[in-house]
Amino acid sequence: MASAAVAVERNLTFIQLKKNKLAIIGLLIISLLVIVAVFAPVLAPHHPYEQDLDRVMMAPCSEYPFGTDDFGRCILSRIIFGTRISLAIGLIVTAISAVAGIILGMLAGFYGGVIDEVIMRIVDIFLAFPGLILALVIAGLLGPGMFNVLFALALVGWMGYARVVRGAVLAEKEKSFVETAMSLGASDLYIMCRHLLPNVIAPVIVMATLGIGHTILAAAGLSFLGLGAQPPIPVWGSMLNDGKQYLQTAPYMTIFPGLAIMITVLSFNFLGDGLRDIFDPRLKEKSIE
Amino acid sequence: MENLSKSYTTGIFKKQQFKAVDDVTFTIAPGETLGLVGESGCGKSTLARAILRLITPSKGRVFFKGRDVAAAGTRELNKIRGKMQIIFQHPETALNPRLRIYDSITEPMRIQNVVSDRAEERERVSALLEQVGLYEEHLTRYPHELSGGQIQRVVLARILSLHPEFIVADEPTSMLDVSVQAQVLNIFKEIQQKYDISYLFISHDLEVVRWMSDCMAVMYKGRIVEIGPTEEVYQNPQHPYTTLLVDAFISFNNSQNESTEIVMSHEIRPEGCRYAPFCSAASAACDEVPELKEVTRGHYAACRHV
Amino acid sequence: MALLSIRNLTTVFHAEEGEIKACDQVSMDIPAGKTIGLIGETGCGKSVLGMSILRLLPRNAVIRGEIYYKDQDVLKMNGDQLQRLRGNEIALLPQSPSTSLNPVLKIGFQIAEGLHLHRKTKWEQAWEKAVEMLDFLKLPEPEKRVQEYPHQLSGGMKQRALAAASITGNPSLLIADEPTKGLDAVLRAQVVGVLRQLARETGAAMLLITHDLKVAASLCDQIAVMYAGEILEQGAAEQVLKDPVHPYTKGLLASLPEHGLHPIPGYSPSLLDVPAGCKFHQRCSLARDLCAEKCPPLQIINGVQVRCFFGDQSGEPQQELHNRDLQEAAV
Repeated sequence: MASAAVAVERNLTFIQLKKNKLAIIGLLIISLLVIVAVFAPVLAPHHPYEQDLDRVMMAPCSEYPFGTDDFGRCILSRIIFGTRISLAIGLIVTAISAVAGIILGMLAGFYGGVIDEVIMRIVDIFLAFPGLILALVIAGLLGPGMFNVLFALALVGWMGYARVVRGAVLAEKEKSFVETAMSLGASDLYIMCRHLLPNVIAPVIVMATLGIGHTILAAAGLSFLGLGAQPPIPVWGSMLNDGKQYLQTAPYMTIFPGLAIMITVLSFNFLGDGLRDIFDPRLKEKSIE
Repeated sequence: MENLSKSYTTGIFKKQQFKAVDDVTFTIAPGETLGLVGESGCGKSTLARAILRLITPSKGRVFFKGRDVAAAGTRELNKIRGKMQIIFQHPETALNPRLRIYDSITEPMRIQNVVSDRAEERERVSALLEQVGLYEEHLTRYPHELSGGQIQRVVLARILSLHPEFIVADEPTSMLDVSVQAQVLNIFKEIQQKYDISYLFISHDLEVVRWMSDCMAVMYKGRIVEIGPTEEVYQNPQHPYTTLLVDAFISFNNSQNESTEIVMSHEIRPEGCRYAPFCSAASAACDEVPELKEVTRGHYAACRHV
Repeated sequence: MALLSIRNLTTVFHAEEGEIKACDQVSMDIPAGKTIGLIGETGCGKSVLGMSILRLLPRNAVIRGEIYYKDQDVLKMNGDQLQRLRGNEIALLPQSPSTSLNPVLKIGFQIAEGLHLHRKTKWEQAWEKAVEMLDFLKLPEPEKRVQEYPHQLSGGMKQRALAAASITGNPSLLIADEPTKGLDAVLRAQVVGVLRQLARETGAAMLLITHDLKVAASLCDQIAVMYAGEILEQGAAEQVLKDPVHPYTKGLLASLPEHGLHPIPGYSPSLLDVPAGCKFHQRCSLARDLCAEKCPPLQIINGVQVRCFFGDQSGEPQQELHNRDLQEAAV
């Protein structure tokens, strides 16, 4: 049967290739987005804050490829600059959540006992609240500003990582190489960093990639509701908010930011799915009977 | 005369008051191999870990070169860690899959700070490779690229890097093919002769134990039921369970025998002889725990009917 | 006429890393009611051979050759015929009862399911029959056991339950894939007992795939030795195990603890990168230049089929035999 398992694994590679195409597309788009974010000043045709009050809410044309908003600002330029903010939020929040989650999950899984109980109960408490609503409340309480949105989102995002890492640590801890290292007198920190961390990181990477997408979406949602960075800072979510009252007359004010959000989130999802497929089968044993 | 290890151990799992290892005593001399035979679940792995203080025995002492390991403090323990080591059954989990073989082999030396510089480390590794029959090309590979037998050799190299005096081998070749097993076990014997290492060799394969060990102990549900010189125990088993094992064991030479109907259960009788419920010779006397009695010189069995 | 006749079976997997030739021109016969052992070490392709018979291989596997079951070529069967074949005529007894039994279904259900599917028995009767079958396999208190879940049974009991489930279709051929892998000596003896009983009392033929020589010795009438996808030696069990011809078989036997644990030098080749010529020549003490160039054909030496130029130790390479001679000599 092991041989069948191997052959199935080979077959999965076949499926993998198909899905991988999506993952590669996702990766390409993300790379493009990064370039756009980095080179925003060069790429944007206009300054994002520049108001051209003569040409308010104009449809897309050669000078303003995505049209203008209610203040005459170039939508394309705002979207380009908005990429910086979206990616930054996605990356920073995910990084903070992941690191916090990894640390807590590692401690819980490695030490067990009281530490495990305490950490897991905290996780349970946080999980009892619907994420976005909790983020909303926190950000609302803290007031406007991007930093507060970051903080709120990070606060509701770490639990998943903690659980996953804890589970993976519990499994890896039982393996002989860990036991041997412990028996030779290695310190706890050494074991956690050298032996456990590299072997539990795979699911975290997948989660984080998908997490960036979710975070961007959540940030867009919060911005849409008025939290987060205030105008004139271009944030895709608030651009949606600005445009919603003009949906009939100037749909391009909402379509383009909406598309930007969708494409970005999809790309991260594709990449995350592809990564998940790559990591899972490879972790299985390779042997032919 | 240096008694390498002498242990009285009783281990109790906290929740159910279940004695995984119950009142085990034996001695291993330097350079000697004690084989431990028993079926899965009899407590041999727990015993192995208790001896090395990977788990703490609830009662009893383990003497390694005169010092009690079971009660030793962490600092003292770390000093002897390198001298008492263990090799496990499953090659798949024996090495960190993310580390190259070179790093896996050097890890014990690095943890214990035994080598001072890279050059010395490299030299040592080369010497170790030769001992276990591996080649330079294996150093840059990852565990998943090696076969089971090769992994066990790497584990041996790791162990040897700290100059051990006592090695517990917990079913090291059960997962390996026959010819690979032969290769690995030959290496075991070689290094034993070269470095005068003592082994506690745990296996369910009687023939392997017979080949490897000077003395043999039979374990049943946490207790040693028979112990003595290997050939003696094999040819002349005293305890009914040992007899069952020897008969049921499909030796190559008497392969067409009808296998005995053995119906085992996981329940354990707290008092008295644990084998009594399955024993054809059981009687009222078996309600009391039988002690190990000397049958012939050096050969002990724990049965009321011996 | 043999019950199952495999002719020139070649199974290849098309993988990223290359082609994996798990079976290379394998020919063997399984007579009705006999137990044939297929022994070999990890990576020799024996499990793949078993799966090829039932065509239970994934899409990237290509099977060539012929497998005649009762005069019908299995490889040419369509979906319906194959479904009728599996379970009913040829059944699989898989490895590892712990993972082959569904942990959330009662034992009785898993056996009754087979009866219902294969023999179209009604459910109530199927449950009763399940109890009977467990009793037949000497499982104590079968009425109680059918209501239990796999985790409540001991290893030996699970093995019997699994065996019962696999014979629900009343197969004429049972393929036992590594039934004793990873088991301790006591459990292994129990499994051997179960298999012996199965073969004897149902009259089914059995293909026993194992790496354990002792298990094969206890159960088999004939033995085939497989290495790197090829059958190197094949013949009566007594003959092959007591007086083998092929250097590999000899080496295997010599590496048993009873015979002194003499290892065979070197490593088994990976099926991705099989040596040219005789697959064993790199590890063989009798090897000569010829062995590295040409693959030895099957010959009859001492009443067994052997793939070796120098098997009879005469120093002269043997001539190739015609198919007719092979068929005549087939036991």
